[in-house]
Amino acid sequence: MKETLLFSVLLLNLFLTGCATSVIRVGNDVVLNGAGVFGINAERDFFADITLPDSLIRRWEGETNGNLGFNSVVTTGKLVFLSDLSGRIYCFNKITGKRIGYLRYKGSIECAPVIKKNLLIFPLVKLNNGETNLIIYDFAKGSELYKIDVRGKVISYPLIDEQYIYLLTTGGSVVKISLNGEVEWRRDLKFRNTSNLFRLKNSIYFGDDTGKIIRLNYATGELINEIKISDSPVGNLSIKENIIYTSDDAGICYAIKDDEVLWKYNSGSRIAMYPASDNSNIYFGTLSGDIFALQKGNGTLLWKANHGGVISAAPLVLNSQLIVPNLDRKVLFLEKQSGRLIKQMNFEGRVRHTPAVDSINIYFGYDNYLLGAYAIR
Amino acid sequence: MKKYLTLFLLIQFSVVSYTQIFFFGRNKVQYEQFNWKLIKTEHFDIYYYGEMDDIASIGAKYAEDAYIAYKEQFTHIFTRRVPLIFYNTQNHFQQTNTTPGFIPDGVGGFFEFVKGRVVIPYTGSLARFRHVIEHELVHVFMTTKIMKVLSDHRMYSDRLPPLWFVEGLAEYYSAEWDAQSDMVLRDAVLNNYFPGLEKINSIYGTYLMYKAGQSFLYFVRDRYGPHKVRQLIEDFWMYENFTDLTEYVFGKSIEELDREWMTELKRTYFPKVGRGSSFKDNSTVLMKDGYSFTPVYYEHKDKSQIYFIANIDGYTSLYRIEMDEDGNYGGRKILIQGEKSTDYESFHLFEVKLDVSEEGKIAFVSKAGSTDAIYIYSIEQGKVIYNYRRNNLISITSPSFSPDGNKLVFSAVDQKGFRDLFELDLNSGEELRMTNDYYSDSDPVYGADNSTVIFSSDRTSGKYSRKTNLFEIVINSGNISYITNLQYNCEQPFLDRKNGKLYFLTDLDSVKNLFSLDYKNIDRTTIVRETGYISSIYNPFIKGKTLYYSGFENQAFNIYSANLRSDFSDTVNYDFSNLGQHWKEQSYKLESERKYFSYEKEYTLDYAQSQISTDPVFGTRGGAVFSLSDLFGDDNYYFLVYNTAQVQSDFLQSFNLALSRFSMGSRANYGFGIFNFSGRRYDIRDSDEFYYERNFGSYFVMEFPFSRFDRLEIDATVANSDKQVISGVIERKALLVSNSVSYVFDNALWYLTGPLDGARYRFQLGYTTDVKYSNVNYYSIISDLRYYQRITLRSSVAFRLSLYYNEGKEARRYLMGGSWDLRGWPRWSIRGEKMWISSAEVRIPVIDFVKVKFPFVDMAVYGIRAGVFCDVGGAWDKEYKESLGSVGAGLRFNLFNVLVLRYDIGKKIQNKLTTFQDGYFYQFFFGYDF
Repeated sequence: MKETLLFSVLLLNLFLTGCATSVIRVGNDVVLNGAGVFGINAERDFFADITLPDSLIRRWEGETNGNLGFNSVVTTGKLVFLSDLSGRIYCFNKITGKRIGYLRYKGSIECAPVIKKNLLIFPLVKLNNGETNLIIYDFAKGSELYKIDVRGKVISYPLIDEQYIYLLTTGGSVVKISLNGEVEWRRDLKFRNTSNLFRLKNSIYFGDDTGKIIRLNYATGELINEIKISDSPVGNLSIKENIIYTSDDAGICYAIKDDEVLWKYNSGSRIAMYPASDNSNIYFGTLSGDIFALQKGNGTLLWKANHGGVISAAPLVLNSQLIVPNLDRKVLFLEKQSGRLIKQMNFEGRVRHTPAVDSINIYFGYDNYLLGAYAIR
Repeated sequence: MKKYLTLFLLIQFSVVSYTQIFFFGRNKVQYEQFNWKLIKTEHFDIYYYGEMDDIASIGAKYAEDAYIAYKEQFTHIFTRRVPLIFYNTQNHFQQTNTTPGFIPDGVGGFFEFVKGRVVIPYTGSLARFRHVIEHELVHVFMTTKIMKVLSDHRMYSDRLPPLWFVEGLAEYYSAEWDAQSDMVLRDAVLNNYFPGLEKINSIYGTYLMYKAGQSFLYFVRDRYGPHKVRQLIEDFWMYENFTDLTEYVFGKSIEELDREWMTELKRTYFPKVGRGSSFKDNSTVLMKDGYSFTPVYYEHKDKSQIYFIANIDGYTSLYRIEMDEDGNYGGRKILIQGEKSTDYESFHLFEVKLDVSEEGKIAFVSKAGSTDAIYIYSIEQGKVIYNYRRNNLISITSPSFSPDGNKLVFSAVDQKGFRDLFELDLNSGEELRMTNDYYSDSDPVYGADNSTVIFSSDRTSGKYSRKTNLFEIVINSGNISYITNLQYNCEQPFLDRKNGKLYFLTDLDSVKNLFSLDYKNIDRTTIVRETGYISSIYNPFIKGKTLYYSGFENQAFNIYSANLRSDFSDTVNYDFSNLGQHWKEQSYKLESERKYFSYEKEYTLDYAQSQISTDPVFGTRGGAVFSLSDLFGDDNYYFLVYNTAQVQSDFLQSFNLALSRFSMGSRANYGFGIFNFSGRRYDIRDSDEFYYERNFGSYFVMEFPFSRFDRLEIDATVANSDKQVISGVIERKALLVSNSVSYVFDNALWYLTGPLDGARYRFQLGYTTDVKYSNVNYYSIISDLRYYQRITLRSSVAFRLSLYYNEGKEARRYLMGGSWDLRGWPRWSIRGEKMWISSAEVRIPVIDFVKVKFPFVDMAVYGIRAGVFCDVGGAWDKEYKESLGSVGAGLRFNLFNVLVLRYDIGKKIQNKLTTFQDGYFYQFFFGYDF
């Protein structure tokens, strides 16, 4: 009798766990009229006007199901959202670290979700087929509003404005979708890429595998120009003050203005990240562990440092420091003006993504399936 | 030729299986006691031994350099230290216990997944060492990267890309595209057997597969960019099927991609047909079966003879063919059979070279026990008349006679790992070391007289640093001078002393062809083309105006002869400017906290498995087994625990446990353990009843291999046995002491479904007695002889004669009947304390390959074989009853090298072998042929 009861309880527990509802419902009073974007701001320069305290104390540590991608964490108001590579979105309370909810999907979410008021917007890459679902989720009410099938794989961060979402597939198709889930247009341009979409004035840009930057009309998606800058694939773009900053697979960093290359700098090793910047300089790292600071205006080298490891995600740029995630299980804190190592934090696993920061915490994601929130105030 | 071409053989002839093994089987002999040392670098633990300090430090530098390069290529680091284990020479490498199986010649190293070990032999060449280290580290990076990619996405990390990609990627990142690579791919394309991407599995595991993978990735790099190669790994999680992934990455179908690649290959190789000649155009094929190398010509009693080393029948041997009256060569004869005895354990087929002296002596090398040995075979006497080996010279190649026949030069690898030149005085037996450094010196031949030696070496400095060129050393002074200084590799020199021409091979146009230079001319700075084949040639031997060589064409190495032409106009000039000092290899610089350590054993888990099973006979059982071993696999611990209780009260008394330790690091392997087995049993060797038995005790076993082929086994067991057939009524207690000693010999050559050639036998004597209660007391004799006589290449007649004899009190019964012995009779239905069986079977191939195309899938079947057999035997306890027999035929089919399916039809022979049964028996089972 006792064994039967025990077995039944065990079975019920398993059943309940397996059927746990995936939901994020925070209520309307929590939602801010703002937006959370990866890259700190719309320009994605990874610059935050923040000074860190001398020491960082971990406020809380959250668990995910899969590991975080290179760009997985966004914060807004009191909430932290992160996506993981096993198809889940998590929402934590910034202060307490309490997990408010999560969403579970079959597939992978390769980039951070976009937050627009009460909406969570993210592409879900399906497995074993060539499709992506664009999910629009109301996290105030806790309901999925739209799930739009998109042909192609979307692994880059979506572009979003007041009314529309723009997706770029790896096969080189651009899709414009309204916030109501309607597909406005799709342009199958066949520019294979591992880049991201970026808007500058009335154009959207992305890099392709043949070394070009593709420029499309923002409204119609028509091709305006193909700007050949390299013989190697062009990676992620960031734009600041009407200048596009990017790099290619050969390790060259570019500044492009009005469809012309302003300057370029050869780092000598592959670059696999967004360039980060502040008002004066561009910062980036390479896969051989080098970290560079270049003057924005002319690409002159300000300093170069190497502290080992592999730098594969954009650094976080603060007022006086550069926070550099390193695959070799550490985060480097460098003096921004000189590249001098101030300190480093060691972790048990790889630190794969750019640290996120808000007014109270700085966030580091690391193996295995963990996110740490460290208090800065 | 020296790298992975042995894999060609593996697809033609089966590797010696060691599954049916523990009764027979060959031995992996640990001749050496390796005193391991350790260097800890930033990312690796480098294990080496003996005097390999210099080589190990250089290898450590290669490994760290590769780490820096690959972390960038793979965007990946590994978070645990990787053990690299370096062995000095292939001979030592083949003794490793890091892998349980035998390692054939030609395997350059491996990455072992269970403990993440990289195991590499150093074979005397730093260039090759670097290549193998980098190749294996690509495997480490790729495997750990893919596992990380999958675990990041919370997927099971139980899959890898197909083998062609895995090995192709390793070659892509580590190897240059050299003449040998070009040779195999070109041959496949030009002879129309290149499978392409869609059918690449048809060349699974072969050297061609490695090179096809490498070629495809070069094509991807050149056509689409190197990032596409990386993308196949980064996006590995997206698709379970690698073909789907490939189509996604390239945005086109696999057929289209294959077509593009094939077009590119044809564009590369087809024009070569117009620029060179095939062997058939101007050569006579002298030997075209199997793989044949290093022909040497000799005239004996007015007969033209060619001696060579070949693998034709699965064994590499020394052969001879003779010219008949019509001028054709034939009458192939084996002079020395290799791979069947200790003295001629292996001729190292892909590194072999013969030489013949004016007096009719042939020098060749074979592995003989722990080292290689040089043998001299007298043509006149028809036997080996001299052998030479030294414990400090582990690997020997390229013996070459002096003009007067009294001396030999050869290349050898010593305890430090250096491949250097040596001279042996055949009369006094004294040897002289001519070089002593880490440059790889090979292919020595005497110069105009006994005072100088010409050889190939990678010591080239200056503009063509590290290329293999020809050098000359003055034996007395040790002075070395350049003969060639080319950006192409020059090797296998042959001096024609009559006309003063030095012939050699060079890969000038990515094909190894014969060139020559005027050796008599001191200011020699021009080489002249002598052959212009489109495929590479090896081991040139010149007699008069006739060239004898081994040539690779259509997947085979054949022996040819050709008249040397003088109509080539190709010449290449060179000079000796800017040579400078010989290059120096860098070693890993150890910081103070990373230093040399001595090895301390650490044990890690090999596997752990639990299982629950239930059946109507024994009820439900549950248990676990796990195994630990040290880094080198020398020390192994096994733990087995399971329980057979049917009710809770039986739990403790139904506990079964066995703990064992096996030590295999020295020549004598031994093991010991304790056990407790209790529970209900049904033992058909005993009675037909269920009984409960508790059996606890300890055992000791030891194996001493005399050679690869034979060994002595000893085992002793002490066990307390408490048997209850009916509790309280029929019980038997005993304190059993069992001892046995056995001699086992096995040099059988295995093919798809069982042995094809050679012999194996076992003689065993044993004694079991109850020292406490005298309830058991019997002795055992086992004699099992099996012999396999080859009829054709793939057919043989197999014979077996076995006697199993127990005599005494409560002697155990032996079992017979079924597909494995007395066919036609029900399995294990014939029992007796004494048993004999004799069999004769003709084994033949039936179907090599058949493919059936269904609408949705293709199914292919390879290698169906047949046997026609006759079995006779009998079993008895006290009094012999009758002999039983069967005759019949059957089919055997090897299922993916996992098991062999067997189906036999025949007739039993009954009534004291006087009558056949009515009708037929039909028997289906699994298992290899006896």
